[in-house]
Amino acid sequence: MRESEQPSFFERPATIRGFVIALVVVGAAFLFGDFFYDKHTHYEVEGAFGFYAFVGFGSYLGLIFVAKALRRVLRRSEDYYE
Amino acid sequence: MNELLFPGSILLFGGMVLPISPARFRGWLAVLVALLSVAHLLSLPLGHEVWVGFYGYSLELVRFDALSRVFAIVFHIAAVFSMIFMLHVRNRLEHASALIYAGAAIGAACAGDLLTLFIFWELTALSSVFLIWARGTGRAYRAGMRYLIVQVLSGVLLLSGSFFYYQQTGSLTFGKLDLSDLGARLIFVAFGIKAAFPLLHNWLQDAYPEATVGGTVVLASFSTKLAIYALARSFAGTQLLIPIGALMTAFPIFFAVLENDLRRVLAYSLNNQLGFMVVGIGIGTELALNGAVAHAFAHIIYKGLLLMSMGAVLYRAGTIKANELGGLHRSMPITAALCIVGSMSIAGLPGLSGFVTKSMVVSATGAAHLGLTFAVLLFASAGVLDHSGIKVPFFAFFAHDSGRRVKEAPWHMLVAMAFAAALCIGIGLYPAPLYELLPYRVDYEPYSWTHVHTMLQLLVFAGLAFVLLMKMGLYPPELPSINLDSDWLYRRAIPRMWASVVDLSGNVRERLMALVERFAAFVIGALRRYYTPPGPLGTPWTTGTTSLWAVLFLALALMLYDR
Repeated sequence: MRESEQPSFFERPATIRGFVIALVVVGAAFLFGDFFYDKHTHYEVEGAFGFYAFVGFGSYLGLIFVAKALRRVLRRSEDYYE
Repeated sequence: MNELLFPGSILLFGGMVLPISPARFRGWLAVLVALLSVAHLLSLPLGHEVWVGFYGYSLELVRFDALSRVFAIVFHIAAVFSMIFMLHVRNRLEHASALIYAGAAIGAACAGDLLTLFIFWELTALSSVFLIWARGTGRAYRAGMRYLIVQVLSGVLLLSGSFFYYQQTGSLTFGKLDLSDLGARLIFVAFGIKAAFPLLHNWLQDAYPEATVGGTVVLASFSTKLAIYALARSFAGTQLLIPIGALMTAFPIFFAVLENDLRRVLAYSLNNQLGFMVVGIGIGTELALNGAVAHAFAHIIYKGLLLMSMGAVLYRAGTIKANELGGLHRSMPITAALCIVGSMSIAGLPGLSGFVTKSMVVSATGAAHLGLTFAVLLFASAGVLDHSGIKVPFFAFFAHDSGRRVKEAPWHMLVAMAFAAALCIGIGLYPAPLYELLPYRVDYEPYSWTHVHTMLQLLVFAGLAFVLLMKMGLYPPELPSINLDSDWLYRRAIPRMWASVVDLSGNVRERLMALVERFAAFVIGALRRYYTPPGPLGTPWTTGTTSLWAVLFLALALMLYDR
């Protein structure tokens, strides 16, 4: 680790915190945006409030948890085949 | 003479001649060859056809319609940015293999009959394997062998399928095929291997990461998209492709989350994106096909960009393993920024090329009322954000600082990446020129409130899920390891079974031989006991005994004779 150097702009806790806050704010704004227009959708459920937010958030979490479970079965050392 | 200058021929012949040029100029000559080929392509009119006679058959060497043209164009774009990216390469064969490979892919995309297609198809396999072998490691050698076997198998299936098709229909035209014919089924599998269908896919993740820095960029741009073109040409509207494609979008992303080699992550990501294209082809409506083709176009460019940025990292840092990287934004800020353009493009962020193309396929799925497939595609869209949108740039350039301080990527790599990034942004903001190249008229408006808003919602909240997992320490760490995939079957399971069959038969043979030996020993022992002294037949008999037996036998003979 080269922490004798100054942490770069992207490594500073303040920057990271700022980024996360911005993301939350933007997310809330988009969620709120659901009220303002009529989605022309193919399926009724798409019109539900926050449907896509839910899909994005849930898919991501689901993906990671299943992947972690799979890792226990599938993981091998790097020279397994060599 | 001009007739035989089929699209891609300049790349092909230029590539064959290139190895004799001095190493210093080779890279530049390669770029020149690519640009010449572009000029040639631009001179070809739409609908251009070239027929040649071949031993009594009439072969359509070139059929330059809208579908062929759009692939020929994007293949040329890939050839140009790849050659610029590879300017530093000194290996004698790498540029040549790449050019021949590109030329063959373009030739295949413009072929009008199955035999011509086959020749170019095999040529892509034979030339591209050198890009893997050029890496020089034993590992790369073995991976290249496996790759070659799979690709040639695909070619053999294509050839045999073509024979059956010819027998049945009397035609060799490379056009729409019906899965009820045997020939068509063989050809379907041949295309499926090269398109990385589930269970036929692992050659992609096995071989691509073993290639050289520039080699992987080139590899990713041609074979799989050629297969997509072939599927679009012959199997558009084939319903079976929809579940196959949906499966292809879903399963690779689980593997991509776990992989340590970042180029292997991108290979799984490639598989996932191919799924979108396959679904589009399967649906077969004009919107769906346009979407699949447009997505292939955009994908070559942003995947090339991502692999170029990872190639640059590998080139400078000497490793591409996520657990050994991190903090590179300090040393390679431009590469990092360009990588992020690519990763946001693949994630489908509005404003970039992935959004205007992927959304066509997703919309077409919704329009066709394929609910389950639609859901899977949405899931896959969120998944892409994880492995390509976040994981690749984050763990390479940010995350925990690996302590590595390297130089920024060389100028030519930056130029190549910037070119690709500019296209991602350009197509994203102004898709009309791409839409005009598509085979059907485009009636689609990507920048509607619905499309933009729903996509942004999905991406932002997926991103928030990532932040949450990181904060809670639940995000899977980067571990030096590999993960088993279907290649385990032919790299471990089958060789072991075969070895135990060989063992078993060796065992059986040994046991049998031992039995035979024991029996022989028994017979010989018995004979010995009788015929050697002091055995009854081994010791000389006394005269008395001999006479007694002689008289007995005479008496017996008399009695029997008298009868």
